[in-house]
Amino acid sequence: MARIVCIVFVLVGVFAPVFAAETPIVLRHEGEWAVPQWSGERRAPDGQTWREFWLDPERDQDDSVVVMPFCSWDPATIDHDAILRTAGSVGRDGHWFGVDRYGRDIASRLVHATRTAVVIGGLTAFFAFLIGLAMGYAAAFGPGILRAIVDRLTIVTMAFPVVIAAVAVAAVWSGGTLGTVLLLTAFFWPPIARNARAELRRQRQLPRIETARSLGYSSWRILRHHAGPELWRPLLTLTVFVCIDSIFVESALSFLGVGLGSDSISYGGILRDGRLAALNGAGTEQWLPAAVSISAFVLALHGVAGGRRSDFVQPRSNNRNSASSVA
Amino acid sequence: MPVLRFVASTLLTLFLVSGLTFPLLELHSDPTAEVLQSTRGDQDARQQAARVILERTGRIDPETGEERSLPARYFAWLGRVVQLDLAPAGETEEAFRRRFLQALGVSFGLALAAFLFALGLGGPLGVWLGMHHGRLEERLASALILTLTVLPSFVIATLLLLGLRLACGLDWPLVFAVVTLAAAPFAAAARLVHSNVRALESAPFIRHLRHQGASPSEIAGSLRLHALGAVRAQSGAWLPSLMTGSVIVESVFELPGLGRLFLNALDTQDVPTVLLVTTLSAFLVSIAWTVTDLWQRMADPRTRLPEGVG
Repeated sequence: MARIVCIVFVLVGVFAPVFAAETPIVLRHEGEWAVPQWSGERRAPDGQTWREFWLDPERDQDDSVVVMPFCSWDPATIDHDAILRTAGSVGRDGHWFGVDRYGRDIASRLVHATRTAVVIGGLTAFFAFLIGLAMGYAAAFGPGILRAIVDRLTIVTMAFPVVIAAVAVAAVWSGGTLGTVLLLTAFFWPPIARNARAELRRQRQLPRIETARSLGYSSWRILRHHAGPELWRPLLTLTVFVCIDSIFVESALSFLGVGLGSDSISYGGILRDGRLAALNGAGTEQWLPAAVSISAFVLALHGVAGGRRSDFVQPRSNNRNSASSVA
Repeated sequence: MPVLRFVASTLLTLFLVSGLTFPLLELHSDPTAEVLQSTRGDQDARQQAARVILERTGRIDPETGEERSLPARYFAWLGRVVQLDLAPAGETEEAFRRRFLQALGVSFGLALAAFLFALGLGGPLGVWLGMHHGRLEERLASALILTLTVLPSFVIATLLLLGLRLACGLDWPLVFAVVTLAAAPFAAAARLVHSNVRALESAPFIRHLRHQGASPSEIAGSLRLHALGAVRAQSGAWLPSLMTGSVIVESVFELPGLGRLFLNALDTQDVPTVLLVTTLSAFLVSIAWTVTDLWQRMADPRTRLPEGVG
């Protein structure tokens, strides 16, 4: 179940520009089929916006087919009519969760916030995994001076108070999505490096690893075939938690107003706007969907981290990854 | 000797933390922007105010009036920290120190209360859950704990603020702040102890106790003692994270703690104060790890034994 929910969130995130946009997914007009999202046409054939074209009562309904996305509003579009009836906008005019205090569609913003969470969480976890693994390997098998440097670097990085340091850097350096990923990666690789180092140091004593090293196998081969099978499982679990933490920290940064640039959409930003609106008398629909969405995504990731069972992470059940060929 | 090594290691860590943060903050901030863009006073007065800020933040040398290089600015800040001369421009040293200590007191008080709340309730709850495994109440409590685990602190804070303060009229910002801060460590403690009790129930020493005819209360006492031991190893690391987590909580509940001081300093681009809070937090992290380590060694004799013995 957790995996399915997780996959749904990832798909929503990856295809956010398709699911939440004002451009039709498929169009049949004057006998011709088209995919406007694919071709990037920003205007309808007669110069109207796609929304106006879709809702135009004079359009020939028999001859044209317009398949709009589930959220037919762009996250940045301001619906001026809906602002006047903020409290009563839920479910009207395609605003499934209503509009925020600026008149922007909340459902569409949620879909794009999921994209931000998936991209930042996924990329941070991926880079943190790579850097952590490389650092862990260097600390376990590298020469003495390299081990000392890596150990000190790990200690220093872990001593950084993540939230405070991230807020401080993000407040003065708005590097967008990639900048946020780099910033979070800089703080989140040490736990993976420490675990990799501990596990690899333990394995270094094992006869099969000694044999592989004495045979002159490359670092990658030792990692992939001999040390790796027992290493991936804890590291992958830890990587999922890094993903969760990076989603939390990025949302917290946006909540405090120092996260991604002003044009980016994040769960934290939606919650911040919704909280401010609620303090001025708006309803729960402005912030509750974002709270539920981020919690559900994190809950699903927790489930994936806690309940994984696969051949990839169970070396004993996978002969291809087994180290018995060396030992 | 271990004390000297700890001091040297901590100082080196703090030096590197501040040394890495300083250029990032300095290169991307302009503390005079607000003054220069202000419409109050004439241009000369604004220039003069900007100059005072630049001198105060160590960007220009007060004697020569020349701009300092980045390393020189860092060492100027370091010199001010050593002399406890930390006040930003436009504030006396005494006033800043009072404000800083008050903020530190608020944040530390919140963190300590949250720590005690989490440890005092989470540990016993975990033991209770472990001993009532499989029952309906255990499942309900586990679901609640899991919910607390997956809720970010800003969501909990928003729920409390909007749910209890606005809907029910309860205006207890301090209580809400402590509950928000304590939620994650409380859930972590309960989960950890719960799983430990479950694992220990089949441990050889518990089986041995049963074979020797120990009473259920004696077995429960032994289980509790060993299961809670696991929290000890982690709890020390909570305090600094609780203090740094107060940035969000203090922002939501508008409490005058270190987090608010930090965010205000960011707003005014007061790099020395931002750096001071960052370095202080890093210091707390280092201290917390060491205290946890010592606590663990005192409590568990096995961790004191040299390698290869036992």
